[in-house]
Amino acid sequence: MSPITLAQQVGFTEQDAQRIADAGCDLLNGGQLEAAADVFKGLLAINPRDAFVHTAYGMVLQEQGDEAAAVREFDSALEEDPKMPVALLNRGILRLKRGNVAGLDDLKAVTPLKTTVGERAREIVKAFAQR
Amino acid sequence: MINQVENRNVNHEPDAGVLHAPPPPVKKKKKAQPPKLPPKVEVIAFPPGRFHPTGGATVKELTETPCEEPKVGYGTTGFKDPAVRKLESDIAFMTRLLDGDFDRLEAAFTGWAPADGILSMQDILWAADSTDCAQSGLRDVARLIKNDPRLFNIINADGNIGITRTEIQACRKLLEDELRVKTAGLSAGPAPQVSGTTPAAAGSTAQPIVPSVLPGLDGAIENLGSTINSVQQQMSELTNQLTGDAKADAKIQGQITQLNTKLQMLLNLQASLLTMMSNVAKLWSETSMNAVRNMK
Repeated sequence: MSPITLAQQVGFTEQDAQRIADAGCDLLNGGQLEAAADVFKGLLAINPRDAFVHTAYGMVLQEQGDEAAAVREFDSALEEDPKMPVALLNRGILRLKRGNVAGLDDLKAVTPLKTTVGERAREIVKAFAQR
Repeated sequence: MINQVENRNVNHEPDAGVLHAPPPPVKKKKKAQPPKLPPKVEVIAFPPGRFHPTGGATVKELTETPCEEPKVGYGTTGFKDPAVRKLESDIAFMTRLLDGDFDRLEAAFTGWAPADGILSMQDILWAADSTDCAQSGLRDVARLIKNDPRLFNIINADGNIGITRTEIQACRKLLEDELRVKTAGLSAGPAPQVSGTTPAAAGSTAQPIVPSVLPGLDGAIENLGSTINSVQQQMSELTNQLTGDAKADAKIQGQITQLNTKLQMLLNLQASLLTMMSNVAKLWSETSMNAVRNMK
């Protein structure tokens, strides 16, 4: 049995969260990392099972240079949604940077995607194969 | 002059090409085991300028890349499913209706007789859009039934004009069952409240609500829940001991009253804790939105 989240308790829907997460993404995009982190941490307090917000918070940590914490957030995102493309891409890159070849598996999982994320993963996998 | 030559000859470094005596033989030592080194960590440098500075995805990619997270409702993503929210609201509406507004509604139905004598879907559709039915609450019921054919079947099953209290109760039960199915698998579901009672007081088996955040409150609510259950059990045992003998029962009745007071106190405390958690969530939401506004 999974425990009820605060979002479910107070009637917070995904649409409600999306509006706040969008504001967090704007802050992240504008480089206001502390403020973005506050928004995402708050959202995770309300719903710790939101893969998107784990990924977004992981990106903030990655920008802040805390790569170990970023990997933990991407791990949490992938626990909830094992196919979350951005979490796979970023975790893959961070793992490879640290010499962990498991990062390649993360990237390979995204390569079939016909998006810029998939394209980037393909480039890195290719570059890695040519080494 | 001589001194200079002598000095030049006193050279501490061996001259090139001059053979020197070989070094004394070194005793062969047992071949030392190479020390176990940690596996070599290969740091992979990413070509500069080709990737985002962090090496990861951009925010644009995050928001535009479709997520494959399964959206199957309550308990999966951790959010409140809008369908659950609607069910709760419909149940609350029916409860209000049964508690207070039903007489008014019944009167409205009695005064409203469709020509064919049967409450058809057409009649329901008409009532759903009719301003005449707005005051009596009939319009709201009609809208609810209009949007849910199962409710329509319940209302229309007996072929009679009008809606009876039993039919509304049957509709509410149907929605409550659906809510129970939708919220199954969670440690505690938002059990639909029967008006004037709490789930615990109504004898429901609803467990205490255990949010996965705020660990301190988690424990407090859990303990409170088990205490409430234990008090209810004691009350139930005492009620079974009632014999009908006024003298003997008076003592038991006194104990039941005491336990009931305690139970009410615990239920109030539980409600306060839940309100506190809701307030924390609201406060956080307002604070973060203010922060966002200020930055803009």
